[in-house]
Amino acid sequence: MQCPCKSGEGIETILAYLGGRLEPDTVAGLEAHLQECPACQELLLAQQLVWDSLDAWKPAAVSADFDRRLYEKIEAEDRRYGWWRRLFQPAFGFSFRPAMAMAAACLILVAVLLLRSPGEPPVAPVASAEPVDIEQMEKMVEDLDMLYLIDPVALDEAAPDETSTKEGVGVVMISFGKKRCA
Amino acid sequence: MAAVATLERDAELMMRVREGDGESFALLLERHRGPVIHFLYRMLQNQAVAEELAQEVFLRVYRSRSTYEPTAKFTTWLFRIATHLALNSLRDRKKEKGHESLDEERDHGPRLQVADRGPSIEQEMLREARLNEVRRSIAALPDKQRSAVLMHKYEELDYAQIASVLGCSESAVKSLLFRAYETLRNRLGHLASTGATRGVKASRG
Repeated sequence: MQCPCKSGEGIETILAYLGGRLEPDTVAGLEAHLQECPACQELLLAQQLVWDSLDAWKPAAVSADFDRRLYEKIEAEDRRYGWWRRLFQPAFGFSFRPAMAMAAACLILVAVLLLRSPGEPPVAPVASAEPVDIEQMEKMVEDLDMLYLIDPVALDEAAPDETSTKEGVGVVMISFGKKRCA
Repeated sequence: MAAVATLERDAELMMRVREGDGESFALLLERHRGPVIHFLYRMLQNQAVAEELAQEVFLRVYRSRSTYEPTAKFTTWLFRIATHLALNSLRDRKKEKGHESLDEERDHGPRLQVADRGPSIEQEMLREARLNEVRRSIAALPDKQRSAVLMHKYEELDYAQIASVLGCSESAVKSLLFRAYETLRNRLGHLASTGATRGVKASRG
């Protein structure tokens, strides 16, 4: 027999052995193996101790009036909800449960339809637009006008110091202006 | 074979309860009352609370009689209800107290009885000390590990049944159990020196 401890099934095999859940052939093989395997012997003894300790823990006796208290609760519940349960219990081979569910759904639907006022016009979706900043728009139009006014030929003839003052912005505006012109 | 017959008998009884047979419910109660109460007692370590919860378990069984379908084993279904209630109770208790007091248990547990011709007082005290150690070790386990150990050791549920009760896979149950038993071996190992161990073959089975 392969050593349970080495195969990784050590505790599972030992638990089955202690619980009397192993086949007789397997038991014989395990007991023969235990004679010569100290690791398995140690595991078995340790688990045996746990097993015996748990066996020694006996529960307290059940109260004599346990059943009486339970039946009192059942009777009280039957009295309180008996008519309601009878309503849902099958009678004459017909269960009212699906019919009741359907009826409840229909009632809710009718209530929703009735609650909606008939004369009320349907609510049209309100068109929403972001508020336009007039000053910003004006500035944008001015900027565009400026681009139209830039003449590339005139810029080429202009003195270098004039273009160098607006180096970054100027280049962008010029290229944009060329595209627009083209 | 006997286990299968018992399962079929439980399902049959429950089907009769469904048809309104009170005697079948009484039979089911008689058959499962003890295991359910003992499981809850070991989970909660309080006899009064265990009995209250056991009443709730059987009340739920009675309430569900009209919708009962024997799709799962009756015992599995029963212990699923019991475990659910026990775990909820433990969670509520932890919220209330912060931690459990194991000393409470002594008020509800079996009384120390010293008879003239029985074991000596010292032996009884030693036995009681060992039992307290066992109870503490079980109580110290995480809730799911504890329920798995109790169902495996005392109720003899197999891995598949415990998995169904706890709503996890069989491999997860094995992992829970092996870790729990490892913890118990470490915690209870010192009891070996007090002569708690008996012969392996004598106690097996």
